[in-house]
Amino acid sequence: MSILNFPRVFFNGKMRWNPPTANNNDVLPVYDAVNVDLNWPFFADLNPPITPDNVEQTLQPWQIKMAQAQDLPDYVINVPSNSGNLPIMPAEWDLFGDNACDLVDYKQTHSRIIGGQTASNNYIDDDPLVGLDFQILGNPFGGTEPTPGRFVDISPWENTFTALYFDKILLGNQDTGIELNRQYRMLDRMLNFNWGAINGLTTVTTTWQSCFSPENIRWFGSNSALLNTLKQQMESDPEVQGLMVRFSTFLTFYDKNGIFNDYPPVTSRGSDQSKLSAMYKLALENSSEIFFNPAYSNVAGTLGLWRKGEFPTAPCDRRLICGPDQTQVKVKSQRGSDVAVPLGVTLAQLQGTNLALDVSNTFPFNAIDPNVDIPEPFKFDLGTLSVGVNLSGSYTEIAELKFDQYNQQMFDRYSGLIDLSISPEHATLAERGELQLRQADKTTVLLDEQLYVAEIVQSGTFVDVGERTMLDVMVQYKGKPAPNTSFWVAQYSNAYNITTSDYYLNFDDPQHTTDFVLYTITNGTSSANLPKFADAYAGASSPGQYSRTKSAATIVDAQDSSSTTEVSYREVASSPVGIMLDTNVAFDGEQLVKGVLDNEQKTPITYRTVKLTTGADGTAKLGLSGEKPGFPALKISFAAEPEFAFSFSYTQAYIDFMAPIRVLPNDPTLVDDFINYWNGIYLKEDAAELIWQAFIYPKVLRVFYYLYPIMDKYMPLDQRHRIEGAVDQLITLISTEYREESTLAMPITRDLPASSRAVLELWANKLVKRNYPPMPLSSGG
Amino acid sequence: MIKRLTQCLSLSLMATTAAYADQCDNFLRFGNDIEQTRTHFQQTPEKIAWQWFVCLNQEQGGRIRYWEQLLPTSRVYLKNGATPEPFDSQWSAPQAVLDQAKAMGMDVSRVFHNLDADLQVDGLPLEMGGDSPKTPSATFVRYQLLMSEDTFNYIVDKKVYNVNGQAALTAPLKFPSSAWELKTSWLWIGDNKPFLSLLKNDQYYIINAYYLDQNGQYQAGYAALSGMHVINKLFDDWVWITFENQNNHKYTIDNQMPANPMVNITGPTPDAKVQNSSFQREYPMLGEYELIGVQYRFDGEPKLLASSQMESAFQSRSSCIDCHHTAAYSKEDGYYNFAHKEQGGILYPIDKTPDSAFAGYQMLDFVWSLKRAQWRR
Repeated sequence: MSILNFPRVFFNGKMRWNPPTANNNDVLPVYDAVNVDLNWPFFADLNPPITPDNVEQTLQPWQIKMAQAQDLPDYVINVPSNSGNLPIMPAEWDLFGDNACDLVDYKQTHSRIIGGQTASNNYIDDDPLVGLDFQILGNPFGGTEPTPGRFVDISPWENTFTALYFDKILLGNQDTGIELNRQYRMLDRMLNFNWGAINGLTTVTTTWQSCFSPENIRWFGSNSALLNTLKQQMESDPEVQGLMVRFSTFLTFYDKNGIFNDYPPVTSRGSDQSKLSAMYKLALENSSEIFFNPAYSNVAGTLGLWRKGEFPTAPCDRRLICGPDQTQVKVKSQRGSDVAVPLGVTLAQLQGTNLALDVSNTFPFNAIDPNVDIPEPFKFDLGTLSVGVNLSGSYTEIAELKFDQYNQQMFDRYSGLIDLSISPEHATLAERGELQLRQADKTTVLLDEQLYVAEIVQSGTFVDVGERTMLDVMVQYKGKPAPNTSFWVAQYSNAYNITTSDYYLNFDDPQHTTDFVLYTITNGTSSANLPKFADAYAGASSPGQYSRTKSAATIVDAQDSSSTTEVSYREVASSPVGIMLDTNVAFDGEQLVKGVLDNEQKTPITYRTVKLTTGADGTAKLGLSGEKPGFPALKISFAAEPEFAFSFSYTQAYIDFMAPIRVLPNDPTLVDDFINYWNGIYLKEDAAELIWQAFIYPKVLRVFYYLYPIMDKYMPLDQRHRIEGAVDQLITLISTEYREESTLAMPITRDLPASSRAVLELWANKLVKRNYPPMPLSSGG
Repeated sequence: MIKRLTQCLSLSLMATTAAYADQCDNFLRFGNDIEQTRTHFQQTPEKIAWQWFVCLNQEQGGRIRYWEQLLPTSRVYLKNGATPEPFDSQWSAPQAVLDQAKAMGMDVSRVFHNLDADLQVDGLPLEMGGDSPKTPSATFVRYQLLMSEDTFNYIVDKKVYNVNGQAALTAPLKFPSSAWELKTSWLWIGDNKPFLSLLKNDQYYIINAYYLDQNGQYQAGYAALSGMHVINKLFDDWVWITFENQNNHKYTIDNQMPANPMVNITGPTPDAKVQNSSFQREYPMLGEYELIGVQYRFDGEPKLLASSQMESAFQSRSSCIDCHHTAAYSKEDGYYNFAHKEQGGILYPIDKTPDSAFAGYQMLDFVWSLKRAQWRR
């Protein structure tokens, strides 16, 4: 199944990532993302404070100046993930980023189709398709010129947080090629932060996937045998429902202007960023001077078949992971020290006596020389490994995996796919047992099969407070749809509104009294505390209710308690850097689970879960409604009873089934306030300016003006005449319909609350489009 | 008024333009023989377009060109929605503009043009760049719309110079066949003498100009004509013509990063090229201006037509006739939105929009400049 089947078309190249770092701050809580506002309480704590009254003069100068630790509140510098990250320029490395992502075709760097396979023993590199470009394209903006795809952080604080929006993927050209029109957006999968120990974000890898039904595919030309075979397979096999594209992105580098593009060279690393600061200043004053400073990753991927029952946006097949009981491998970090890291995820498929593996995100790597203009990757040599089957505790090796099969050269040639020939007996055994990857000693387990795998198809959905939506959950057992399978769903959040951080169960806390130690500070170093429930599931206390009991042990295991400070969740949550872990969504048919934490206070926790069972096709429907704004990540458990950990490290999330949801806030009085205001001024000669000054700019657009300065080039959000002049385009691009899939949606991060959208649409449609009629608005607009 | 203009024109015709004196005589009314003009136009639209361009650019007493006597929309669609002054009423630039101009050494006896817009219909500005001088903030190409007397009279007669009048419409507008409009684009020079000199060398037509900036301050200076749309109602679906200076790529840039020189990708059409070389030779004063193309039928060629200066970023989806056909107003929804939701993005019409799209709208007979009307409060 999937791209592991034949035929396969391989492609590789470089991906450009151009995020706007003003809203993507890893260290400073600039953006109150939960409430879609600038983080005014944080700004008020700066010296001098930034306030709504002086923001025009103070915020951008502050953003482009290095912020030193001594200039920042303790609640910021003490966040565990902030250790070692100061000083920092609040604007970070790509202030004018436009969320674009696309493939590089610049000077000697190309992104091209490199080959293909119609069977495991034939590699095709002389097909007319080979050597042609591939590209990810966005929706049209006024003309036929190509626009880029866009990647957007649905949740800035989670692992599976980035959605990749696109209109089409084009492999080849209109003479020889294939056009895949978007049916499902992509989400980053299997993002393995553990590999950051090797060389920071350079070695953090992720996997992307999307699938396409035949009606969304256009074939060009007939001279490519590779494409002809793919088309013939797709159309003749009743089990095939379309095509799948899967690719991994890895080896990410920054500050590559002038090497992969024509933008001015920039150095955004190091303590002296005065040149970058000066360039930002110039560009903020003059939109002609705006520049990008994208990051670049290597990309390697495969086009193949999409069979019935396969997840559209997440890797399917049999999945091998490094669980908590498995051994990590030792590799050299960029600094030269030995570090232990888990392997990534391997996907496997048995095709008769061919065991096909997708190890594109399995084996750690680093740059041969990170200091050259275009660094090249290498795979660490982990020696010969053993692929085998664990059946009732007995392990049988079915194939060896040698380094010359998983080294960089083979990765580059096959996009990380490996075919292992096994005996018929071993194939039978593999069907029955659990696949494993072990070290050569055949006893040390590196990867174990995750038997049940689930995927929420609409991961990354936006829901307004009060809005209900239905999501599809697909469940597989050993790579095949799992009918009549029950599972539980719960919601987690992150406790800080900066960077990726650990996960905590969302809980009901109407009185805001629930508390526990969130982190400790020992000798100036902060460490996350990850409380657990006091015991395993203790049984239902009443129908529809479950309870966890038993007292807790100490929560802090400090060597020297006298120098350890405990920082509580409440303290953090009430500060400008914290996020409430309140329940964000209500599940249809939800149940309450009660438990206590394994701490001295025996903190009681009540959380919500829902039990679902798949139908005959292995899918289930999950209904949920937005309750409080935030970023709940849905997690699925296949345990018999609701056994959700209270908290876990973000480094574990890459193997999990987490689906981010964005619950947008809603101000129920905003529309009425807008109407009432207009109805009080509509006869005034300057009514247009008054409604702009009092409402549209400060209450809707200002936050986006400061977070997305790239808009200065196209539609400066602080200039009424520019917005009015583009009102037709604005109306189209802010529509809810475009929020869901368009690469041109405004704001690009799609975080326009429903009430703000309603006001903006009312203003645009009923006032601007009618040249501000001197008449009142009715409550219906 | 037209009579007065025609007299001026006749008096100022130079020997080299004598051949076209007949064509320019009362040309805004097609020499009083619209049928003959239609016949000639259909035979060689590009040639007639050039003849009109020559007529529009005839010098008037050596100080202004003929088209400068048309009325700018800023004097038609008044801020307070009031009835505009008559077409030929006396008018002068604001005193603050004249004071500033005088201080800059400009000839204040010349006409000052109010270049009151800096956005194109896609909501984007066109940045100056390339050989244009570096400025502390981005400088955009500016625009001015003008109309003929017959266009103006119809607007006044129908009382659609304000939105009150447009909202009261009970039938589609139907402008007279002698209606003309111009849309002009301008490189802003300000007081930069070396830049002025550079543009003069490239045969740009230079005017005295001003605009009101975002801070409510007047800015006076020189401006150079980079493009001109010319439309008239010789046919029911109007005639659509665009000229531009062929040096524009030196001074204007696209919105890519890094920026590229702005070029026209829709023309000149092959037929325009033939006339360009002929007319440019014959009229050195207009020698650096080129006709890009002409549209007058929905199903005709060229399908795409744009000015690099006025439809810069969406030339690949720009059709004058199809876009202007959507000029319509609805009491409920305001002006028709031609930024069509297509393919998950925005595309502008390059085919005739079906009538069904205009349910609830009154058609404005292709005249989008009516959008500039304000309410009388």
